[in-house]
Amino acid sequence: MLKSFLYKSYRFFYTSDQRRRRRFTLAGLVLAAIVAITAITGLDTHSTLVHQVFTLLLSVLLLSLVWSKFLARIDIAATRHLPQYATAGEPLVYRVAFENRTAKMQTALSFYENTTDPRPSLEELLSVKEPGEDKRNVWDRNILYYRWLWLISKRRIIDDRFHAVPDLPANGRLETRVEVTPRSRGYLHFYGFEIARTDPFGLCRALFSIPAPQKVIVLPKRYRLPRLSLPGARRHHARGVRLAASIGNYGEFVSLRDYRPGDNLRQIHWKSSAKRNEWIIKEYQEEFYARQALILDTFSTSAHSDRFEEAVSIAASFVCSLQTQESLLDLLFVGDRSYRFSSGRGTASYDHLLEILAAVQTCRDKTFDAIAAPVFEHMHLFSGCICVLLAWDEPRRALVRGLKDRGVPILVIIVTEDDPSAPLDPGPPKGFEKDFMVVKIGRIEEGLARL
Amino acid sequence: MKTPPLLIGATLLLWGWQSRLFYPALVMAAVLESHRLIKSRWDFSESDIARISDLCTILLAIAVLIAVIKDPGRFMLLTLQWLPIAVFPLIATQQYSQSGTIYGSALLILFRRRLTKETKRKFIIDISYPYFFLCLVSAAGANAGKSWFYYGLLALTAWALWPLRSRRYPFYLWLLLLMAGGALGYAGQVGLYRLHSFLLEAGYDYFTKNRDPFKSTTAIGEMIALKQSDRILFRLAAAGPLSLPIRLREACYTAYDRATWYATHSGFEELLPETNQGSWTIGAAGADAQQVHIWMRLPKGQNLLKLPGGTFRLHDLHVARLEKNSLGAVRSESEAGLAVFQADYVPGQVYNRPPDDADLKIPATEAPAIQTFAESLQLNAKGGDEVIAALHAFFGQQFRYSLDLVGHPSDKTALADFLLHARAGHCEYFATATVLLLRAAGIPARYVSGYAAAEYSALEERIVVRQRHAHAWALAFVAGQWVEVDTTPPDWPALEAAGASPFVHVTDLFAFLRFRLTLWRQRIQMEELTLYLTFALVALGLLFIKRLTGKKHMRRVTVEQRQPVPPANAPGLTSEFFAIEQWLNRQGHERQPGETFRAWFQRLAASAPEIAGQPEIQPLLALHYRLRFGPGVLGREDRQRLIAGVRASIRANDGSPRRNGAG
Repeated sequence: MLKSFLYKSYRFFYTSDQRRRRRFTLAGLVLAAIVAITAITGLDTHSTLVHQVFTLLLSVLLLSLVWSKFLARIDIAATRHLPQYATAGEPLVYRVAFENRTAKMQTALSFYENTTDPRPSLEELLSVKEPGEDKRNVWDRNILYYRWLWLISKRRIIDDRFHAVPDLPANGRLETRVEVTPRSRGYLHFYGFEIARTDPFGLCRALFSIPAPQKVIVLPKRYRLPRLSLPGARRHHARGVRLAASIGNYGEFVSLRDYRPGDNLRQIHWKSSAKRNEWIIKEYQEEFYARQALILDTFSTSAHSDRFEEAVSIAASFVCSLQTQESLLDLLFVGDRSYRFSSGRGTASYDHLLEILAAVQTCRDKTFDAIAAPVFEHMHLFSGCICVLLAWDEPRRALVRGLKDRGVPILVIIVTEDDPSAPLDPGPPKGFEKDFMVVKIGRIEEGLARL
Repeated sequence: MKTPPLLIGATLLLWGWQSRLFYPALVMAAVLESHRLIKSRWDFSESDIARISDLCTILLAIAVLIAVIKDPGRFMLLTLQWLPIAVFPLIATQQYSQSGTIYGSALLILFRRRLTKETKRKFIIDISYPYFFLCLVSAAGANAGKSWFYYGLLALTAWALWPLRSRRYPFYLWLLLLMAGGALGYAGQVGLYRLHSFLLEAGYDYFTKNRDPFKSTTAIGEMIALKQSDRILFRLAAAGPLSLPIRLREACYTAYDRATWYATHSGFEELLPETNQGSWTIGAAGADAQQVHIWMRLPKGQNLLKLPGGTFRLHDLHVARLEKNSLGAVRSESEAGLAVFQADYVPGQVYNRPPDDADLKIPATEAPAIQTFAESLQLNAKGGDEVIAALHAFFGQQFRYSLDLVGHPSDKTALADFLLHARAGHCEYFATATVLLLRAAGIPARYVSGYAAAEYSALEERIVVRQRHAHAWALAFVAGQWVEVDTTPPDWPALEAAGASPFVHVTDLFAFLRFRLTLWRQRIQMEELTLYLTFALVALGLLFIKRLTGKKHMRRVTVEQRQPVPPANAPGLTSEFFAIEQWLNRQGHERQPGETFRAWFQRLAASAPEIAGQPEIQPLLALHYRLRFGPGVLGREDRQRLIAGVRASIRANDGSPRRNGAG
């Protein structure tokens, strides 16, 4: 009952705050604040003249408000030219074409994009916990205000901002460039334009809508990865290309080198071995066609987890990086069920994987074991496996051990908060340190550079 | 958002004029406006701004302190008037800072700690418009009472609104709307003033309790629960022992009609001070005189003094004018302030003019009930002292004190109902009934309103008189002299005290502190204090400047240094050719991301040949490319050619039509 009341209050105040910000310009808001201050300080009309300031500014503000209430809709059309993709944290630049269908020049107009309503539902407000909420005091925890603010910030993909409409000549058409920066991945829905016209004083805005529904996929933020040496590739051997689990070789001879354990005995250069009295191997041009599994850990207790977002970003970084290295990549994760998507070399494109990563959500109704079965089922297909994990607990350790036991080369990346008080316990398995990496939020790129 | 040139200066001058601080305002205006002439700027870090903000807080605290000392009753108003001085260091910092803005996060200590670096960067503000409004409100707070203030206010507001106006509308429309706003505002302020005056007038008696010496409207017959305030109105102390309560008379009335007492033939006559300017003789001195010290806050203007009935002389009362009337009311006229004086009085004696026929009149509406009552008590058969004793006994035994007024039946007057049925009421009922019953017994009587001092405060070591100690009693002319007859049951102060606020001790403590502060303020010389504070301020300022100009803090930046420095890896970013790009963008010819100038002009050559097809553009573009990418450094002459060419090209095209329907 109380929570429902709080939720309704937050919704109401958020809506009225948004309306206020849209209806008043910055100057209008400042003036309204001054009117409020002078209303209090000017109460005693016999001691001061502050009431004169109050009545004058109030009159100006009221005239502005009244003026902005009476707006005849201006006949202009607007079309948005969006790119296919945007990236979280990177500016999204697109064009908006305005067409003035009146015989009068239209000046000093502005507009803002009507996008997804960031207000969470009551269920979401009650079920999703803000990170670090346990450290807040009892009042803050129960009143849910900070949680509300946090959810709004997480759900709002772009900031509301007014952009200038270029001065439109009579019956003319002009384009303007709009730059917004999406803050998070996902679908960015544009519902239409709210065209604003300020009053002569420039204090209040009159608004009318032009519907223009469109959407753009905001891809996850991606990090630069160093040139990767993927797990599971035998190197420098002869034979043709295979799009298969282990490796492919290529027939271009490069050099001779000492034998290393695991080298194919067919590649021994017998003459040199005889001369040197030790095994010498023929080395060939390296072949890169390998098939990698990218396991994304989606098992988080919160719908909006920074750790999960970073894990998605890391997965997307691998997708982009492997795209340039011509390997096959299978993305495995669990949502409402388990998913496996292949891409590269004539299967789906990498863009497709990025789109999937843009929309992937946390899985809160299953345990981590849900991913183990599909991983082990398909493991025979892969030459190596990259696991991006959110924790290092027993189920995750069991998965990694299982893969290791099956002889699958593996790279484990664990995303943690940059909190020195919470060390990762109990650490990587022995003899496995090289392929085990912990990256901390805020220092992800730095961590990945060690790859 | 910056204010237009000279606006803040003009507003400061208006403020200076209004608040009688014209010369400081002139200096402040000169300092703030000359930033347009002075080329030097200072590089203030966030911690510098925080220090300056702290200085402003200290200045504000000093302003509050001086205001409290100078006039505690109006300290908020005084502080409001001095706000432009307190905030001046901050606005001066902004005007002379390299960025022309300040870190908003540095203004409040709470923000300094809580906000992240990212948020702090976003919270960079320009305080010129808020400062303008602050000066305007402060000027209004000074209230010099000039009729032209509103017109100055309107002019400055118009000036401030001018840069914000929408380009969409013609100038005349803006002006028309502004004039309408001005007229509406003027009517509004006149209306507000009148409404306030009306409310003051209507609630004057209720709120101020400053009695009219000629008329006293009682609460007899009203249907309300009287709730009096615990506020301490004045204080008393005596050199010797005092028997409480002491009745302090404010005014005396002779004629009663429908719940209102009137003082007839009671014009005031002016008293002349004695040679020492603080002593006043009110009546003839008597034997066995006593002294009482009184601390009483006098509002500005005329005030009735609360004095014991037998007061014949006042000492140390420094007021502009003192008057008394024949009914014993003493009225002073002075500026607002705390009056501390001594009253010499003879206990039991009452100074009042001799009785006349009016002191025996009973209004016709009350006569039946009064006569019935007088007969039942057989008052006519008794002597003066016996009548008084009978009334004391009668009211004391058969009546009770009550503040709950329940009204009365329509066929009876309130007083009749009080006497015959209700038998409960507050002091006005008792006093009025006593006066009329005395008159019915043939004894001249009058009605007195004032206060009963009955509460000794251990905290203050004085007798304190609160608003709820307001009282009324009767005077009876017995054996050739006036005597006080108070028939209100003696437990009334206790009943009143029972309804006191539970926080009365806290409010008393604050009242006492304020009282002591006022006493201290009266003792010291204001000029002396101002001098000390000025020295302290100068010392503080010097110390502050020394700290701020230390090696780690603000740095002066010359005009050359203020030129934007292009990054080392991107030479030529200052190229004037970008002006052409900006101009074309404004015309709606957007350059797409990643599009080179050459490709852009090729594209425009098809859609807008009159602009991009100009023969002058290509050589200018070549110069721009040389400046930007080399080879070598663009010579001075070539740079001049580029500048002149860009200007000429923009000028030539300014009249060309905008992009229209091309898509």
